[in-house]
Amino acid sequence: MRWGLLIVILLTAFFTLLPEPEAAAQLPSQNFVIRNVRLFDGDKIHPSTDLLIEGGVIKLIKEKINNRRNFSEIDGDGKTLMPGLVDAHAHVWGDALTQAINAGVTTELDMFSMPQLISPMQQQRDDNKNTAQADVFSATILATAPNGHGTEYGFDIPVLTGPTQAKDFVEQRIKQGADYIKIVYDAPDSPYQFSPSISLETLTELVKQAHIHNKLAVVHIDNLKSAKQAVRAGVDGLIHSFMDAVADDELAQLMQQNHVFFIPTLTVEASLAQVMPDQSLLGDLVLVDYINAEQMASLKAPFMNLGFKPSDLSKAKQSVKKLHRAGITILAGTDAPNPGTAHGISLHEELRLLVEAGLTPLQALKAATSNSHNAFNIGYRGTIAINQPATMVLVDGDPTLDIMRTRHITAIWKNGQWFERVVTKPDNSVTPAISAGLIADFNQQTISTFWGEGIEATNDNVIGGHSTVSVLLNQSEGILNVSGEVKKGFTYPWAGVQFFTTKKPGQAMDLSQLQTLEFRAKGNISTLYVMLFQKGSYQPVVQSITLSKDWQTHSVKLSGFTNADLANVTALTWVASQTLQTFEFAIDDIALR
Amino acid sequence: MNATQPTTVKLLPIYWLESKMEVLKMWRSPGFAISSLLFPVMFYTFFGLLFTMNADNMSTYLLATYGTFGVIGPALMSFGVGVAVERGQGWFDVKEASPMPASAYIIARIAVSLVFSVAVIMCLFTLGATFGDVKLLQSQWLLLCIVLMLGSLPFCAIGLAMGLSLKSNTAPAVVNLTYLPMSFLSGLWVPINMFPETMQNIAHFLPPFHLAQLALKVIDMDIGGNVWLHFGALLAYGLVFFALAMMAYNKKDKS
Repeated sequence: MRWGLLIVILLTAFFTLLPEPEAAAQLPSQNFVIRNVRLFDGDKIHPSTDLLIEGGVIKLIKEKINNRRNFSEIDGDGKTLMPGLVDAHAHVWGDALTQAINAGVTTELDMFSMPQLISPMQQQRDDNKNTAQADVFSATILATAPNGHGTEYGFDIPVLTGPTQAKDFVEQRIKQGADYIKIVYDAPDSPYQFSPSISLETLTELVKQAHIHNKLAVVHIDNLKSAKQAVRAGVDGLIHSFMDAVADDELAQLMQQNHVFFIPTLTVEASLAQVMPDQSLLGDLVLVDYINAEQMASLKAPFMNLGFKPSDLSKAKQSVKKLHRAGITILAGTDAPNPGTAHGISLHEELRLLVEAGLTPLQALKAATSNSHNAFNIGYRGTIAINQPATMVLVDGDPTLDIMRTRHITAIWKNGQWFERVVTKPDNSVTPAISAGLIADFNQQTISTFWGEGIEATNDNVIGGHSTVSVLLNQSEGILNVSGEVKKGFTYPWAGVQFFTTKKPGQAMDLSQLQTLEFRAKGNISTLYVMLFQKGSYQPVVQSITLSKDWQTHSVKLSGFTNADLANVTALTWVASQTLQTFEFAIDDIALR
Repeated sequence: MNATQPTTVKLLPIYWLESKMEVLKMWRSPGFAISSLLFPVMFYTFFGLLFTMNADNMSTYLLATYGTFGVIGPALMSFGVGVAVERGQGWFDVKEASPMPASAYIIARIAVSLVFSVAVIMCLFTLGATFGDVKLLQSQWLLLCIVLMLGSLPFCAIGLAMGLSLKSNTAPAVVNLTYLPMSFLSGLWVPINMFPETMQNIAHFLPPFHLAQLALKVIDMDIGGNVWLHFGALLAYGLVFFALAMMAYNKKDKS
């Protein structure tokens, strides 16, 4: 019987020694169960299932989970759980990544940023405590020709003049943390020649070098001809649908054979074709609370007119339809924050446009999840599966049937942590409406204004441009002389003067009760641009006036600042812009009527 | 009262003694001891620890299924092969003629089956906990062990039926040919949801599938069937095969 006792002791010891799961109490909110939810895991739909999330990681996906540790439960009935969305084309700086996650976009693939800005953000993506912003992958600096597309933003970037530089270029990018290589290419005989392009040989060599280093090469193109040449050069993905022609069988076949994916970025194509974002986006009550002023201004900003008409957009859409039917993988990307687009929110618009182009809602959802997951080396992102961080979005309704339901977000989790969405509250900090009156008559000893924070010089140096300006008060005449030179550097170079209605952060002046901005001006340039800035946005709304060499009184209708929120004005500027030139103008008697 | 009491008092020591001897006998026959311990441990090491397809969850999942595999082995072998061989050697007839009650014979073999089950389970648990990063609540470890041990009883009945029907020279082959494919088809070696649909449907008719699902339920990794359905299926199999065993036993007596 002593043997029996020994065995009992041994067995007890054995079972006491077996390891137990760590106490999950440290992160209580990262332990929960979702019940009876429709699950779209990035690939397939599970009509009704439970999920158990523990320590921020998805531990179980199955029906009727036994919640034996009493984790809090979320009822998923009537809702759909999908992976955090992936925007396959964005440009990330500032608080792009918080804007993205606020709309359920938990991963952004950056397609051109300066390494010193993007690299700290790239490093955060593998930190599971990084739960308040989207993850970013980046191409860092894009490959382009001298003065080619990408050089106009004022950054001093390395450019390529021939194939021999490709090896060094690619190695430098990888050293700087590039997750893939982005190239800008335009065929020598393409219908558009917006800017110089690298040669086909350079493109081919860049792709080769990228592949040697096990990186994807994706290429920006804007026409059919360039698309075909790029695919023949061996690229992995084409960026942007094009509006010169609809994709033909040859391109479809080429892309099929070479397994090339396609990021059509219909959102920015629409903006390029001068189509305003759909009212369903701007006016959607479900969304509008989650769009901040910067996003709203970016959405409303018009794209520079390059000669595309709204009807050209249908070609871009037909190309998507054609290539999709041919089995080409489509990835959802927005090119935010270009004019007409905004981080996060625009991906929902991209999904709508993809469905309009001919994808089913389910296929569109794949384009924003598993397709990016499969195309790019981005880890688990874009999928929901066991043993990976719970980065997912819960929406009301069934977006696999109605794509508009992606906007009805009821919860967002990043690495299992519930993300509290930032609501843009109606702002009450606006001072009482400004009544009509003079702003400045320049008859004082100094440059001063009757209200507001004064007038001062402004130029594009703040954003990396090289324009110059000097402002001089002509006391004898009681006028303000402004002179300088608009120089190449920033895409939209400018120089002139700026009137701040207020400089207190988060404040703005209410000009909504007023009709016109009046001033006297003369100058040696033909066009003077009057720009209006709104709170929370760096993008101005612009009107232009024609200057003459003699004094003239100009009256600018405030209602002519299209889509501007006149109740939230922070500044007005008078600048020379667009044309590179030296300029000189004088201004006097500025008033609001 | 006086007539029955002495027999009941003496029954327990008989059971204990017979069980002890039987366990000792089996322990000393390496063919049985090694194969019933080695196979589950070896398979689990390969498929549950070394070549797992996705990290720790696989080790946990396969701990339950190889545990099932591990406990039904001794049950089928001890009864199926053991009984058939002893019948062939004439040892079964000697035992039958001895004053020992028949129940002691069966209980001793159940004891063998349970002792080896515990040994297999402890080996697998140790491996899983040490090398597979398997972490379960204390209650889950214990419950898994108990479910697996009790779950081996229907397989004792199946083994007994086979042992009483099969000839001694064919028994090992037939038992193994039942044991191994049945284990595979029940999803004991690879998770059931990796099978094509038709194979998954076949599994529902196999007893190891139901035991595996009960074991997986303990660790929340089953396919979501009803506990009582699995339990009922195992009970039904146990009763049917026990009845078959009784029939085979009676037939043998008459011949």
